Amino acid sequence: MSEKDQHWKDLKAQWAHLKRGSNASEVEKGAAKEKINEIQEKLGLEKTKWDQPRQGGSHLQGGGSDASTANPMLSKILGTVLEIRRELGELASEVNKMKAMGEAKPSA
Amino acid sequence: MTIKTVKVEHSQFFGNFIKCPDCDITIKLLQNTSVGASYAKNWTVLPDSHIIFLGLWRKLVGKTTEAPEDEWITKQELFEKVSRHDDFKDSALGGFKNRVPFNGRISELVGAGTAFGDPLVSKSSQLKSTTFNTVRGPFYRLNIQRTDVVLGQGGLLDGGKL
Repeated sequence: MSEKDQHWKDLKAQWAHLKRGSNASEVEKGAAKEKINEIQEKLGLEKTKWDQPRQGGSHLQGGGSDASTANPMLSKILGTVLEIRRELGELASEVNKMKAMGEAKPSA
Repeated sequence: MTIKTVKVEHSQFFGNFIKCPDCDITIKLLQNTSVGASYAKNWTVLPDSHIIFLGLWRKLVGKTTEAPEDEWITKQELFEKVSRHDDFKDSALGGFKNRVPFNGRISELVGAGTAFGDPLVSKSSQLKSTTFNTVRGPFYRLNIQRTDVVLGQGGLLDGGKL
């Protein structure tokens, strides 16, 4: 394994500290961020700017795309959710109608 | 046993499964010829060898952010190109080192993490005409913007879950 391969592995390991669900403390996360920038420099990658607001899940400038429009899978899921919501709305309206009819019926 | 060729419509896809329009049987999909290895779609992080290979390919593509036609390349051309690079011999490239598994690894890169973002590698089945000849695809092109983000994040494909 070359030195560069080791850098890639280290970079992956450092990012794992920042992932949601990681047990790393805030101090460890801070150290991981520093280390990430160091490795990125060694590998000739653009350094992550930690103080910048994240865009599309990424700290990197211009790196992410608008997930709501660019991700076809997400668009499909959103479409399905909206469709289900519409159907539920229609069902609720049917139930209300039936309820109203039942209430209007004179009791024997 | 009879073998039939059927065309599966998009509505017959259910995640990683397809429903045969002929016999209604549900079949696990391993690879879709247009979107790469289906099982890689939900990968949240790239395997080490894939990261190292992407880094090498990215280096070969250089600083360009344009998408000229000659960036579209066949698997054979890509293999020849990367295997000539100085880093190829000593790198831990796993399945990328041998020509036959190389095909599968590229298909994985086409599908990898597409549940969370754009593909790292785009695929086109069109023909490419040069002055001298016409080459039949499929062709592959590195999606530079997505690759730079994923490489910068150590191979994380679901960048939003940080």
